[in-house]
Amino acid sequence: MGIYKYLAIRTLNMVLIIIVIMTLTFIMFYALYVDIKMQEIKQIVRMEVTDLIRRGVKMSPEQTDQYIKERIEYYINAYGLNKPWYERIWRVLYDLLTFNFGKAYYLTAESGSRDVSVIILERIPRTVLLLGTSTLITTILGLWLGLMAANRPQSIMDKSIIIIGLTSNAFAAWWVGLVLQYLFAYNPLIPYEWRLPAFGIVDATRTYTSDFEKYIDILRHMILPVSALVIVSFGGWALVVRNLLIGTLAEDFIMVARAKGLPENKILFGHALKSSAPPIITIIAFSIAGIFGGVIITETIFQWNGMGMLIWEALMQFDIPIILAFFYISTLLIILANFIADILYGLFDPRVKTG
Amino acid sequence: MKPKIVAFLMVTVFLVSILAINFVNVSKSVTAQEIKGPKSDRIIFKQITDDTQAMENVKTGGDRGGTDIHFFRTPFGTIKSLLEDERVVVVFNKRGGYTSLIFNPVPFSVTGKFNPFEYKEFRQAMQYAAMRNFMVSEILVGYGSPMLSGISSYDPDWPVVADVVEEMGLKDDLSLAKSLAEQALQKAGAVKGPDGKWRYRGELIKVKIFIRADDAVRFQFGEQFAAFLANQIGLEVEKIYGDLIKAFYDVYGSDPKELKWHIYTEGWGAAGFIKYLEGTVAQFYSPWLGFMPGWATPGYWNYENKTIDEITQKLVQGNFTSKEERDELLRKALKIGLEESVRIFLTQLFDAYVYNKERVRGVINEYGGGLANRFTAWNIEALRSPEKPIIIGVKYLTRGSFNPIGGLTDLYSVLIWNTLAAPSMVRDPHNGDLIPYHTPYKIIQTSTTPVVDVPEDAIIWDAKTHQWKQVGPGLKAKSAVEYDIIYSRWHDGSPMNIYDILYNFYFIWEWSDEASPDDARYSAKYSSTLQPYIPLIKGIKIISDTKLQIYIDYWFFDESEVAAFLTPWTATPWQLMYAMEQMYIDGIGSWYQDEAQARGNEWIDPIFPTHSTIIRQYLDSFYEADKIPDALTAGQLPVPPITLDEAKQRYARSSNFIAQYGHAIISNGPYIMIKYQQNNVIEVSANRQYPFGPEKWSGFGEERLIKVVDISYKESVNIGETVNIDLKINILQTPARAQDVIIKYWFYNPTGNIIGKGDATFVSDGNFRISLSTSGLSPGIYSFKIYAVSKYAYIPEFISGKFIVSAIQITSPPTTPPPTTPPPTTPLPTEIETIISPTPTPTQTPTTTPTPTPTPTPSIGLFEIIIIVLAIAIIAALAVIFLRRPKPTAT
Repeated sequence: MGIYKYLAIRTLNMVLIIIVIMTLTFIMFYALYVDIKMQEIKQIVRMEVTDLIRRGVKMSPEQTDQYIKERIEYYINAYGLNKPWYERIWRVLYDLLTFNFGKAYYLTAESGSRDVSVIILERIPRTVLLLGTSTLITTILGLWLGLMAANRPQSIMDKSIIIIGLTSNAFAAWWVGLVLQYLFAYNPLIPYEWRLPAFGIVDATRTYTSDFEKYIDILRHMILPVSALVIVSFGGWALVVRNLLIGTLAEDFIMVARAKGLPENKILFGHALKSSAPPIITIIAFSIAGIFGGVIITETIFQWNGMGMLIWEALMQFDIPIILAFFYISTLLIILANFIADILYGLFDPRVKTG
Repeated sequence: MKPKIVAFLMVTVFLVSILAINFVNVSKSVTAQEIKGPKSDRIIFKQITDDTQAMENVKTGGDRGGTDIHFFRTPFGTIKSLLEDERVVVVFNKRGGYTSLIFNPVPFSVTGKFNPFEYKEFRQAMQYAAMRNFMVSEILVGYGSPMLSGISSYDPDWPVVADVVEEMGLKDDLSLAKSLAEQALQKAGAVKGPDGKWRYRGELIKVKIFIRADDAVRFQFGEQFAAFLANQIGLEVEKIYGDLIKAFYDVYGSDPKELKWHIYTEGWGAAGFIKYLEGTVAQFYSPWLGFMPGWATPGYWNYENKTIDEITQKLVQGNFTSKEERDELLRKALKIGLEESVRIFLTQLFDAYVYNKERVRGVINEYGGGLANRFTAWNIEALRSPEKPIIIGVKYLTRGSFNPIGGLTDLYSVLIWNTLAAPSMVRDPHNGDLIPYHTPYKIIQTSTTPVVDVPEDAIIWDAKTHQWKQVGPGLKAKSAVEYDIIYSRWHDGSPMNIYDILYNFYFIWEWSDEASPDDARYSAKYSSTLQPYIPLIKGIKIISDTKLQIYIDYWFFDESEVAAFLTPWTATPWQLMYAMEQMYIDGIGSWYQDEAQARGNEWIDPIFPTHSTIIRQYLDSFYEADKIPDALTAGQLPVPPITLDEAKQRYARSSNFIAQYGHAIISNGPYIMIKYQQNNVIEVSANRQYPFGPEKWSGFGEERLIKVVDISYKESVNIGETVNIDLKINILQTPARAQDVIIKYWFYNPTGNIIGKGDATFVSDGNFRISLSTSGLSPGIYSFKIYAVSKYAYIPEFISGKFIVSAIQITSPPTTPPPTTPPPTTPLPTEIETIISPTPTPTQTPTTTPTPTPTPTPSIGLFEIIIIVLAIAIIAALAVIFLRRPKPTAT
């Protein structure tokens, strides 16, 4: 199969997958949304009537019935609930494919805009900062520990790293986050001035005299959430890298390299790691794709106003446009990541090239 | 001589030092009394969505990176640890949320399936199975009280309906519940099998209970209730667990005849302090409002009760001519509701709020809202680090919009807005009485029928011709109220005046009336919201810039409610309204959220930079174009039209304000919003040009609660003797007068029936007596219950006790047992529990008031220290000089 044909088929696959996933997501959420919205509307209208009564407005039963009927009709029209879902879905899919996400129902950007694109673009950099940093640290730490463990199999260091890795992998992110908050932000044994910030991106009660001071404060605010993410992730990385490299280090070409007298570092990084790169790169690619999704729980615990918190708020308030946009972009990124990983795999490992 | 001089000098210096210190303190006190606006210069509202983190922040304190108080109720599970924490004070709002059960009474004739809840007797039996005391003591661990009806014992209307509730004899009695339930089932034709299960026509009787699993309290109770039905009664019980969303489907979204539920565990939030509860009774017991099974949804089976519908409609429509008539209707409606028992109430929850007592003082507890209210924000001040701003934690800064027409619909934005806006009237946070702030009033005349002449030159706004016009002769109204207006100053520096008031009235008439199909100044949603009100406003008459009369077709026996119906006041300057109107007209924004969706534009929110920029652009364009709104110039305006100069000044000031602060929240209250960061903080600064000072609200910091200091009665009496119960009652350590309190009592015979009731007799200040003659009574153990409440703070005290009526003379000295503990000597039957507020166990002390406000240690400033040090140094120097031994001289 030629490379171009392969790319074309993969691209078509990608589009089909997106359409199927978004259709399912839309159906799932929209049907639920309509039902819930109808009940909400009835509650709202009844509360309106009760509020009028409490404020001293007198209405006859017929007037009340008429009022309730008109108000329910008004809300149904306002929310477009009088249209069946299959009439709306084509429009929604087209809008999604053209990156027109419309307006959010409830949430807004800091400027006040309800444009979903504006809201998402505002939040993405924060998530990238947080998760990018933690991914980078996790990757480096995981690689280093994995290499060390793989280089000395069955040694005390190897066993220690395995134990640490398994333990780290078993931790729940939310639990680690809460523990770190208690230990370093709310611990009564630590003087107030030395405590780390428990949540937020900046201390909004402070007035910064310079941008540098603000960036330092941002870094301070990142310490706990990044630590939480690294603690729960690095162990898995270390184990994966260790397991990959143990096999590679047992290969003949490594023995040859050692026999040639090459320094151990060069053997590890120049030969072993390089040949184990494809699966590692695949994992990195998916991690980067996952950055968009954010880590909902961590961002919520630390009130880090990124994509994770956004989707959490959207789910709580059933803000459908944001939910759809989020799932769409997440899906797109994962599919793209998969696609790019496939290409990179071929580049690093000539054995898997097509055509 | 020298020692005397030294002593004299020392005393003089010491006295001078003391005087100097006192002078400094006195000077400070004088300055404090002259303060206008709130006590604190700056407040920062900080968003903390996680409740547990919020509590940790309060413990830390606002001057140390945390917060000083949290404007949201404390998580239930943290209350105990907070009560033990010395840094914080927990304040209980006893009018918090409440829980109830609702039953699906759809009959067999509709579904073909036996439904025990179809039968009133079975539903009534459930009242005795509600285990309210168990819920309060075990599930709420004392942070709540039993609730027997839709009107709780903490509501001001409780004394009106207390007799009705007491006569129902509702109590926790599982044996009685089981007995009554089984009788009802038998009567309905069901049969109890040898396995203890009930069957109808051979089929097991099954019921479904929908338990709200997302609420710990309702979850636990639901489990208990299901166990009772299954194990004690012998029904097949299917438990359905779900959250609100699932409830929308299975309960509110389903036709009762589908029998997706038989029982649902309901929960209600506190809706603020309501003094008169006709609406509440209608909501909870009458089908016509749509809160009963069927939800008034066409096509569904709906629970019907024409009698209660008629009575509650009369109540809410004001079809009564006196308070007595109204009270009687209320009692009737409640009695029917209790007898029907389609909805039964379980408990009232005590919401807890917390603040850091080392750091702040001056919080005010508002019944219904807890500490999260405007008075706390205006009255709070720092005890420690006063140079740092007060930090108030909020769950959310806003969940809606700040536009004054269609926004301010969520609790969070309302809290912030109330801090910034000056109110025309406020309700006393402890008894709901209306207190005029900026609109003191006088009722000119009020009547149940429209007999009040509306002056010919009273005006209304004509939306068709867009101008003011006089009402003309012959118009009548039910009430006429005259207001004096005490203006504030707008946050942008503009003086408030009659034009702001007029603009508010203009808006009501203009935007609710579709003068023509292309009327740009019309909002269907606004119109429908105001439709019931508009016909009631007959006209306004401007007497002067600060005096105005309003004529309305509204009557209520409480004249303050008449005055509060429509006050001549606004908290948004006219130029801002004018600019937002233009946003609406030009299709950029809408007043309401759903309106914005329908019109495809934005929900106007002056807090957002984009919207405030647009508003500013409009203001600048008005300035450039010399525009003046017709509301302030057109027609038969009884005041001179606004001048162009004044209008332009208004535009300029507001524009500058927006440029400076980046938002358009311009109001007239004690605080100005100076900073807004979405999902982060709102910073407000004191408005020292506000006309009132803390003396206007700081008095609310004291809750004038009733305190039953002592109760004495004879534990045993002979038949024929009179039982006298003497009560010593104080309000804030002062003996209560007759007009200060309501004290109701009920006597019960050994079988629990009421044999006497009434109001306590006033003897002298602080002394009240309740009497019952025992003539004609049989020997036995009798009991009493007393409800005592201060009219200034509606948190009652309940007292109960027992006494023996004997045919034999028993010589025991009269004793004064503690109010809530039965006499310990004689073993008295205890299988029947009375519904009283349980005495909290020693480790739990729910109080409505905080522990006594910490007396701030006298703050000694640097100046005082210098004085003292100098004084000591001088004294020491003098002592050295004069007491030094003279050198021996050579001889």
